[in-house]
Amino acid sequence: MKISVCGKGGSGKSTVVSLLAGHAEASGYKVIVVDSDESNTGLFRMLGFPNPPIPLMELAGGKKAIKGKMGQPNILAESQITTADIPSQFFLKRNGLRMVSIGKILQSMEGCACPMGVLNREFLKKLKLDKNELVIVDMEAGVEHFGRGIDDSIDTVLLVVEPSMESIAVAEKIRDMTAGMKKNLQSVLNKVSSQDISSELKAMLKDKSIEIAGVIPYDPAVFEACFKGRAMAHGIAFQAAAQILNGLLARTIG
Amino acid sequence: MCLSTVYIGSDGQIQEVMQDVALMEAENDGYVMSDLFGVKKFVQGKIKRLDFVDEHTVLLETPI
Repeated sequence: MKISVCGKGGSGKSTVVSLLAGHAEASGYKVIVVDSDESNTGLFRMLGFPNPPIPLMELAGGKKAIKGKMGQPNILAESQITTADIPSQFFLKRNGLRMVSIGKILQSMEGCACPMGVLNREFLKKLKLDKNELVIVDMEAGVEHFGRGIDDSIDTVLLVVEPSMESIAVAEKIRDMTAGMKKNLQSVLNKVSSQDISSELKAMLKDKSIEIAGVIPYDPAVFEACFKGRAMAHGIAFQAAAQILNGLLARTIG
Repeated sequence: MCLSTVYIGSDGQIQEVMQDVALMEAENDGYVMSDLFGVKKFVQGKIKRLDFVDEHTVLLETPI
């Protein structure tokens, strides 16, 4: 099963990815977290790794040397790959958790991120999973990844919504785009600081026909982890994520 | 998308020959196309149209 986590910038996509990955691993899944965010670099810290992985863009030589390496076949020239085919230098591993990164924009004027988009789309499409493997993709902010077709091979799109009008506006766009792609869309309400806000946000999303998988309350442990750049302590957000993951798995796998 | 889809065609009929083309180099009477993953393909023809607005397409004048 492949889940992509998307939403407005700052809504908490990486936090939700980390929480879900933690629960999935604890439940016995082999989890592959894919860092598809071309800008933010801190997901590895939230997952408790000391350093980031070498980006998969390096398979193609990296953005700088890409033309020199073009013509040399890499694993993505195959029609199908498994996690065992990913060279070990391109992923981080701890117990049942693996992390891969597509690539990052590193310099001004280096050109567009289109090659990363293609690599991301093809990697997700060609990666065949065993029954006990679960891919969780931390998407770039906003909606461009839908235009690029990166979500094409995704089973469930998980939309992170924070209590802000802008986040709801992005949610409506994503609802329409996933409907056009005939993708299963679920939402998770994040950074919810009171029961009143939870109820109001739920009503707003219900009104827009966006299904809600669960609510992650505001948790000082998440704030602390993001502020200090380290893995999250298991607080109320972590507890809430368990139910959300189980719901997603039940809806998709049955 | 800044990688191109290449089509060949003539007389109003077109046919896709390769997606996600990252590099095209002229060779003899055609072009060698490469993608990011090491796949290469040669196609005969002469460029008729480059469209950088609508999905980045390249059309080669080649009888199908």
